[in-house]
Amino acid sequence: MPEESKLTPEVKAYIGRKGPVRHVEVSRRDILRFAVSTGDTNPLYRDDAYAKQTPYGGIIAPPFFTCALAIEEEDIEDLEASGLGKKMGLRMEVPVRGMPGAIAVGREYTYGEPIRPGDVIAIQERIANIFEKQGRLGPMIFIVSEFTYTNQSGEVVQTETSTMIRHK
Amino acid sequence: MTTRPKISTLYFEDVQVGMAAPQIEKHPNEVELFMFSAITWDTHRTHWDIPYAVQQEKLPGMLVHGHLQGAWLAELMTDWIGATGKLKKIEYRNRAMSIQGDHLTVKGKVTEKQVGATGRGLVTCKVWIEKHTGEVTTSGTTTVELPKRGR
Repeated sequence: MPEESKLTPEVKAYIGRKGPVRHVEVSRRDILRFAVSTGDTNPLYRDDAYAKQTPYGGIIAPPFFTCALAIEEEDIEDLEASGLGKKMGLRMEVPVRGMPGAIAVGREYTYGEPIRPGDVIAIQERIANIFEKQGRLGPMIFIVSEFTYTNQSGEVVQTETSTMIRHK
Repeated sequence: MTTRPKISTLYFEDVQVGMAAPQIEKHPNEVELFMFSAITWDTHRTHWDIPYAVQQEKLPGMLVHGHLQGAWLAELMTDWIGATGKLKKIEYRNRAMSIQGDHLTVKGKVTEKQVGATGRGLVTCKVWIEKHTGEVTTSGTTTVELPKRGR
C-alpha cells in the first residue's frame, strides 16, 4: 500500500519561488586561498604577469570558487552542535512534513563570464522544480534549486543546478 | 610554492574520442581539509573534527568535502586544456565517501567532440575520482571549449 503523497499544494507552491539576493565581494586573497586549499597551482589564479598574457587578460577565480561565496555567515551561538548552520536556503524551507532527512544528490555548473578580483557577485536561489518518487524507504521529494551568480555588470558568471532529496 | 607553467594550447584537432586527460593525484591531509572548510565557511564538524566525526557520526575519519572533489574534477580539465580552452559545464555526483589520507587519482576520458555554433570545438569528457582500491568516490561529465588550428 503506497503511502500518501507528500507533494501537497503547499509544497508545490514553492516551484518558481525565489530566495533573497545576497551580495558578496571577491578579493584577490580569497581567490588565492581557494586555489591553495584545493592544491591548484595554476598561475591563472595567482600570477598577474602570466594571467595578462592569456585570453582572460588578468587573474580570474577557479571554476569552483563560488563554493567560497555560497555559505552565509551565522554567529557561533546560532550553529548546531554539529557545526552546521541553520540558514540552509529556500529549499530547506519547503514544508515537506515528516521528512527530516536531506541528501544532496548532484550538481551542475554552467559557466558564463569569469569571476575576477573586485567583482561583487549577486547570488540568488530559485526553486526550479519539485517532484516525488517512490523509493525503498517510501516517498521521496526531489527539490531542484537553481542558483544564479551575477556580477556587478549584470553578467551571469555561473548557474548552478543542484538537487536535494527529502526523505523520512 | 611551486608554480607550473601552463602556456601550451590544446587544440580541438589534437583531441580524439577515447583519449585520456593527463591524470592528477590527490592525497588530502587534515591541513588541506581544514583550509577548504575555512575558505568555503563549511563549519560542519565532519570535515575538521576527527573525534566528532569518528565518535558521534561513526565515520572512518574526516570527510573529504564533496565540493573539494568537484574542484579536482575541474582542475583535471583546466590543467589539460590550458588558458586558451574554457570549461563550459560540469555536472558531478559524490558516490562514496573519502577521508583524510586517501590516495585519490582524478581521471578523465573524451566521450564526444563536435563543432559548436561559434565555430569553436566542444569536447565532452567523463571524469571521475578513484581510490587506490579502484572505488569511485565522485563521477561526472564536463564540456570544454577548445580553439581550432589556424583561427
